[in-house]
Amino acid sequence: MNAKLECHESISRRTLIRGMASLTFAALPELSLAGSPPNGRLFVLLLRGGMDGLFAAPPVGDPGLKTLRPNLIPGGLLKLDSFFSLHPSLSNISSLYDKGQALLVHGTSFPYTGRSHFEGQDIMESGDVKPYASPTGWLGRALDASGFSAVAMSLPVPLILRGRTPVENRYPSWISNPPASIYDRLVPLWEADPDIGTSGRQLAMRMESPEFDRLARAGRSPNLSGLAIEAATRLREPDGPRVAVLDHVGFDTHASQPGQHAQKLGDIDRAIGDFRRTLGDETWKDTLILTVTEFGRMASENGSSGTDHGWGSCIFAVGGLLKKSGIIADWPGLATANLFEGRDLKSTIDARALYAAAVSAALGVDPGLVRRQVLNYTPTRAFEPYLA
Amino acid sequence: MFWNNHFTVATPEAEIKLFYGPHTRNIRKRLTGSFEALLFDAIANPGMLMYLNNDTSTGPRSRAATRETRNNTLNENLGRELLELHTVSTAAGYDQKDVVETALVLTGWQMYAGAITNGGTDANLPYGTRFNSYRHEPGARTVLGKTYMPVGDGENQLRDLIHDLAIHPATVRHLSLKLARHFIADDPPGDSVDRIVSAFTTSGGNLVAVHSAVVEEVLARGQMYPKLMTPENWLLQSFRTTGAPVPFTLPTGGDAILFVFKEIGQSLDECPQPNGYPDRMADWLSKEMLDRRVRQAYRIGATATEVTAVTLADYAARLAGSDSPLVPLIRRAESRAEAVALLLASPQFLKM
Repeated sequence: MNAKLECHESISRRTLIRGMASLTFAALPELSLAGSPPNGRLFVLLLRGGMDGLFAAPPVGDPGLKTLRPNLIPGGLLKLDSFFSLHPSLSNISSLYDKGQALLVHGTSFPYTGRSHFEGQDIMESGDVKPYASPTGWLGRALDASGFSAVAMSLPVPLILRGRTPVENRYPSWISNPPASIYDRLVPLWEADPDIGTSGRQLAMRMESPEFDRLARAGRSPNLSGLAIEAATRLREPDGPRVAVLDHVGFDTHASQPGQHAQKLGDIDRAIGDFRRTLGDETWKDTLILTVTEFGRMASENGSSGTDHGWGSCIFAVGGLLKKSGIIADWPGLATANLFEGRDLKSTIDARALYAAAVSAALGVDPGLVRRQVLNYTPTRAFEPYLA
Repeated sequence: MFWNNHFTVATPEAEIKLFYGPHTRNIRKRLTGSFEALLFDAIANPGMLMYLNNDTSTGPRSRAATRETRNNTLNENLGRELLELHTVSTAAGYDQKDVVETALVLTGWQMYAGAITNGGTDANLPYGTRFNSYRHEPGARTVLGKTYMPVGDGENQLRDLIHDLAIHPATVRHLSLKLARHFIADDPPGDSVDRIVSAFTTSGGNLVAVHSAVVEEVLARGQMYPKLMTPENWLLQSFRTTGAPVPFTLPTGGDAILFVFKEIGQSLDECPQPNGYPDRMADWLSKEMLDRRVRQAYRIGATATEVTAVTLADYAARLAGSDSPLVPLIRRAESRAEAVALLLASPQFLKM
């Protein structure tokens, strides 16, 4: 039994399929966004381990939820509409929703059902439908297509940003720099090396921001908000990077989920709040924040107050670039017969649809080019009311 | 180090971190025997069993499932990774049913906290591991088309499965390619991989034979494929080359060496995922990653009291050739720390 959605922003399965068909097949002329590149900014939060969409945005209107997860529905939920709520840790997202600046896409994932973290993360970053098939990432290809640059707030540069465009990364260090003369002497040696040359040249032009190390450290761990603040500082620069990626691990809660998953959600919600404050209203209106995770978790809880790997999850898209708030779901339902293989929330909306629309809207990449070079997926009309 | 990464047990969770050391020692003990023995000890040890949630995984028809009200369901995590990461890989074309069957074989294998008070565990098992038939799924299991019958309470099933997985052609190919990628090149020459496969197969997975084949390939082909060392290998090589003391404890009491590994971007006891750290040059190259090594190289230079600019320049000449611009740079360095930093952060050393 498919739960009937009452929220007026949701779209029906039929509309969605019709939209996809008309754009997928056919020699339709490719839509093009006219005019100069927008001032858009993308801030992408990689949530590794499999974020639980049913925990982050519980569909309390579905009678199956209480049956499947007696111990995993938190109190104090933040109501979005009569069907969906937000976990209480997501207060910033909730208030952005009230301001017309948050979009929840639910029952969504990449078209990958293998439940492996590594294959799933490879797919969420490469944007390919097969794991380990692509050496580049979809944001990296979006940079190539748009000509913009990016910064990764992580120690290795993640696959999602790999492409032809060299990407910077920042991560707090606890060890101070040696004298500048050392770098001066090493740069010519590095430059002569085919593999190290690019990184060496970038290092030669390093920009010191002593504030960064202080802000982004919390004791001996990086502070997510500190990283988000640095990302905002970089994205605010008029000629700086247009894309920033933040990498957060720890969503793989096979056990003790109520505390751990809630803490992770709180981390990202605070990071979003701090990011927005740092960015300032002017840049915020051009900015879109996207969450990306490799899969959702099993619809039912396991015996250790946790959840095992699943398929469908939810995605949050928030920011001033949105034209209005909304919930996009073609709710598959939580009755056993409606679950994928009798166990997982189905993905009824391909996550690439949102990401493709976001790349077009924020970076001004022509949807046809997005399909050919970035995500092999043409933005559907489902997102037109929110992103353009 | 390679095998430690292959059998990653490393997370920020404090209770699992405790097992990093014992897990590493379990692996080291097995590096001169068969891969099968290594595989068994690397899987059936408390660290791995806890890390990949096998500790409470329960067969749905086991006695525990009917009597317990919590911790009474199957957890597929270790079963999936045993197939995907540690042995045959997805190339073997197994399906979800194989994963579940493997997870059922693994039910009952647990950490045994009582080992401490009861004087250890079964001598044939890694310290602190036990097989608990109370949680084990009864009956025959089928993985990759082969059926594993239980003898007695079914403790034999994991050993029998591991025996087959350890010499499965897909495992041999997966491991040989991974070894060649780590030690030779990102995209190693196919015939090098083939010779490692051949040594693996003919020796029945004897690790001395396998490692010898890898070393022979490195000696024969390594020079043709300069490869950036991982931060871990680079750091260890830096300490070895300069004789600088390895910092084991911080004045404040923390584990200094683990902190240093974390700083250079390859935290040994906090790998993000069970698939371990990646092994391609691009994974370790960026402005920030390079900067980490420069900072660390300078610190090492400050404590490497046994070297002089002259010995370092001689070393650089052997490494990079006597006409390399690196040699005069080191000779003219203003301090020992600078000379050491120049050597350790030079492309020639980074890609040794």
